[in-house]
Amino acid sequence: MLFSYNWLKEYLEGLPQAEEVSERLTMSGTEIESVSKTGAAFTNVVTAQVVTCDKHPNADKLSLCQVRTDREELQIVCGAKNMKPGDKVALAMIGAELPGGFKIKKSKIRGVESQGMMCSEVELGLKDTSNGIMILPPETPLGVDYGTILGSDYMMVAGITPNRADLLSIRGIAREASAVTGARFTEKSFPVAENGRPIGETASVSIDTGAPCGRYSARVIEGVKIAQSPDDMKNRLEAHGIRPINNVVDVTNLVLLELGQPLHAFDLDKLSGRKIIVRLAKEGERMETIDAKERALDASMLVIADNAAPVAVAGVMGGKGSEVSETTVNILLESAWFEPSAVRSASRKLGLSTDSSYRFERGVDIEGTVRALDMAANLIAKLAGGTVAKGVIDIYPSRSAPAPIDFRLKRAHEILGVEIEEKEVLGIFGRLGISAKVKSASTIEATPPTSRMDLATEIDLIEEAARIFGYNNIPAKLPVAKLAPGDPGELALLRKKIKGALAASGLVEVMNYSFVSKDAFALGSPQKDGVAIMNPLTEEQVIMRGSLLPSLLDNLKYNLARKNEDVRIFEIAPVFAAGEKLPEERQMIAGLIYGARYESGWSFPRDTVDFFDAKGIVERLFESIGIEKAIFEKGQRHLMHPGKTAVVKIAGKPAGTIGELHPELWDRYDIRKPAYIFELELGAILKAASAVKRYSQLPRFPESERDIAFISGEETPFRDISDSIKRIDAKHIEKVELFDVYYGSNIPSGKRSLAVRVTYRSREGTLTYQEVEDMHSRVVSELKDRFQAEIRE
Amino acid sequence: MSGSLVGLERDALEELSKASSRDALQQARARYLGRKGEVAGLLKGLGALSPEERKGAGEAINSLKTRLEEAFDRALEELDEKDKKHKIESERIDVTLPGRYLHPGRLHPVTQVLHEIEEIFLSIGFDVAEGPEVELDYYNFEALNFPKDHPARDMQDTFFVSEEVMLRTHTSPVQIRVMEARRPPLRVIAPGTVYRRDSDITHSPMFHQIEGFMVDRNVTFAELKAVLTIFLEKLFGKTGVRFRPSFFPFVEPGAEVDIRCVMCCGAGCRVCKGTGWLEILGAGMIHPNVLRSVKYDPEEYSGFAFGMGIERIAMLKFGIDDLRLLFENDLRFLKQF
Repeated sequence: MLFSYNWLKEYLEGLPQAEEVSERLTMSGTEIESVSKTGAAFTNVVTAQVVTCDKHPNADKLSLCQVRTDREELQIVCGAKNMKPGDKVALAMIGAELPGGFKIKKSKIRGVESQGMMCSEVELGLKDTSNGIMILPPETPLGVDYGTILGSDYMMVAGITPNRADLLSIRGIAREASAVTGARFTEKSFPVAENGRPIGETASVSIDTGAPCGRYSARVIEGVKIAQSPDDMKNRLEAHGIRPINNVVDVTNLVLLELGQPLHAFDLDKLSGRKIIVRLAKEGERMETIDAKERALDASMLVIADNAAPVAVAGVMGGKGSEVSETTVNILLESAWFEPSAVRSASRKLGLSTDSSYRFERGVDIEGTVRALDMAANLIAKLAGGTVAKGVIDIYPSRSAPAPIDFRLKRAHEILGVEIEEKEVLGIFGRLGISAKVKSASTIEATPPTSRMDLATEIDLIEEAARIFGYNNIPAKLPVAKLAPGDPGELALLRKKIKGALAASGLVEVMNYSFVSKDAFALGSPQKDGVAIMNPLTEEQVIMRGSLLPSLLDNLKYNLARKNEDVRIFEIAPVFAAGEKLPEERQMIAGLIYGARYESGWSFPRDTVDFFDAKGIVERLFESIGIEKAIFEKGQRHLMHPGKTAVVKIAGKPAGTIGELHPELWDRYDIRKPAYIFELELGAILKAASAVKRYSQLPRFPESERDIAFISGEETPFRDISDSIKRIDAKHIEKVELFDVYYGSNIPSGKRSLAVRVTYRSREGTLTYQEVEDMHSRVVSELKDRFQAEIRE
Repeated sequence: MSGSLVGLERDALEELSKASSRDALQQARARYLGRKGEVAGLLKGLGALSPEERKGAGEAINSLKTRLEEAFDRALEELDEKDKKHKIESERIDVTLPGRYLHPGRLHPVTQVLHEIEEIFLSIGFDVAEGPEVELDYYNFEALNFPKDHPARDMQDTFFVSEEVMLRTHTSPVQIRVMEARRPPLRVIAPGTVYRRDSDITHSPMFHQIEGFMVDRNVTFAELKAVLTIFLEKLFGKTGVRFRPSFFPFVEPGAEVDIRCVMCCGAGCRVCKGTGWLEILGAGMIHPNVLRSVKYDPEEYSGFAFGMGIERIAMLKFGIDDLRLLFENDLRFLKQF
């Protein structure tokens, strides 16, 4: 909320400087986001009077004027034409500085000396546009510093939290400022000369039973003359972000700003039957609001209607048909209290938020409706004339009186950890306008003012006591608690380890939005039901990810476009699928590698990554978290090359996939080389992971190694071969290592040559040459018999 | 006999002096002093001599053997010295060529900050808990004292999946879930991804938060102040900390916690908008309505809760001036951390 320091001062005596007010308000919960000095942004500009005004001898478009201050007459060359002898103007003297650092110097314009400059509003930084020189009121004295005449003010911006509806007004902030600075608050009085006929003869008001309206007050003013408001009032409204319209509407807006009570002025003659009915809208009813938009109403919306139709959406916006216009003569002023939730719901349904609805939905002071009418009637009578009808229509079916609340000093001490003395609490409550009395030795009975709808329970009052006492006056005391280690959480801990392992493999962690485009969703998870966002911000963020891979592929494309040619990235995040009550969320680990195997450098080979780099990353990851039982089988997955994809199985169950990006997708991501991607499910890994590390005894007897090369079918998985070798004598065959894979002209097509090294060792003793030879010949026959291998010599 | 010994010695020494490498020297040595070498041959030949001759000849051969061994040892030593000297004098590298290592990857700056914060709280006995990112209205709002149709809900623009299901707007629902599942005493932090329907230079529709809370008998605001102060000092160093009253529906008294601006140390700058302070945390005493919603008696138990945005902290710690960089995933950016 934007407010003027000077306006605040109208209610307060002894208010400290703006900076201090800002500090005190901020530290008591009304955060002042900015303070800006307004008024003169110039120096050495004085009031002066035009004496003569002639054409410039050497230029058609310029004037040559004699202008006098209180003590001298100066010759001024001027480009404007709107001034005439006798006009009072603001004259920038030689040496004056104008907004934007513009300095006035003695100068010759078209051969004629100019001893200063007559200013426009724009040149003085007072307005955004102006028509020629600013003409000051005739009564302006001469030779006076114009900055002093303008005066200065501070505009402050306060962040008002939703609980403090009472601070959405100058008067409300003044009350708060009084409580936190000690400045004396004085209520303004708004005398109304009720010199018209009784209000009952002019209009009538009724509230339908059940309509969410707690109070409806109205005044009638007849015979007003609609005109522009005076400048100071217009300036004040503009400074507070409100566009001046006409004197009556401006008054209602001024009251809204000052008292926080939204008012609406109806053209009484446009109200059918001169009648106001507060009721719920009928299904299908429509009306045109002041902003010239046709609105469809529904039966949940509270409206103000006349005999015929709705004339306003209660608390939100008035209707076009009954708005105050230049021809308006008689007005009805509405000052009401509508149920906050009713206003909020209508405002949301209509997508229409106004200064009025903003205040109503947070809660205005139900006791303040008539005060607001009086202020408005007082001002309108002054500015627009007319006669104020006798009396106020005030429908207030059940007067609300805030209930007293018990404030236990001991309870406050327990919550705050500091004891605030009874006397101090009473003082604080008094300053806040909370009436309080001592009920018993340790309890204060406190009744908040009606404006403080946020104060309903004891804890609310404890907060009031604490914030005025000052949070910074509450000492910090470390808790005393049973010593116990923090539990890092099984999943969180595992995720942390996995991130560490992937980073150790050279992968950089990325973070992508969880919502993606429909297209990206379909690409990642074509067969699943997605979780769609009802109110997305963009087409790119309409559905929750079903797979992390499309995001990583986008990251690849983004980086390639920025000449980051070698990409190794990973992400750990949940994916979403439609579920019962809530969507199903599964944490996934995804990675992508592309480009060079090693970072470019003077001494590394420029190899390009392949499938086995990706597989190696996953294997290393498993190793780092103690997963031993993972196997990789030929498999299929959408997105991946059908011949270069593996399914990862842990303890027999699928836990993810690794593969080469499907060649069909290269163009989509602007890539020229294969990319390798993997996606694993964290939950499946969690079950198999183990932090336990067991020592196994170092071998005491030497090993024997035998190398063997053979040709076998390329479709025969290596793992089948190595497994069956190991099975020949699991006790004595320690390792089967692959050290070469070869396809070549001397190898028949459909076949490949493999070379393995078999390590034999016994834990009981040194194997004899013959024992090793015997085992090895069984290995050879196994290869021949089972895999039709041709042994190479 | 003695003549052939002299010849042998001369030949050996000549060969020795010609050998320029260690290998050649070893070969020569083997030829004269090896098991089947010349000297061994001479010793074998002793058997054919008469005992009288044998004594003199034996002594002469052994003395020759000793002399040759010493000569070869010396020559080897000299050669080693020469080699070493040559190595030292001739070998040169350009030490300014870049070192060679396999580059490790990096954790995202947000993760790094998250881990740092987790470590601080684990060290003072807080557990880490997690919850779903898509939440029920009940957990995200209702149980946290945000009534339906209340303007407080405007503080957190929400992405909806259905009327009752939404992307969580904060990590506070985890507070409810943990309190429902466990009984006090509780010391818990809940890091996680959250979503708000807001996107501009300073707002991302997805970001990260850490929620923390402590519930027990007699937990006070004074304790909240102490815990958050030591936390902030661990994270940012001994900077000034201040507590200001503020409003969040699920706490009361509610507070915002500021630290002295890390950029200007309080002098006022663009980052702190001239105030000298940076808002870093929201906090307060858990509202009695929240305790009631999880069936804790607010007269028996009290607690504090706090929450903070991780991106903001990461930006301050690393001097990042544009929030969007954190989600663009440009490797030139990510590799800086």
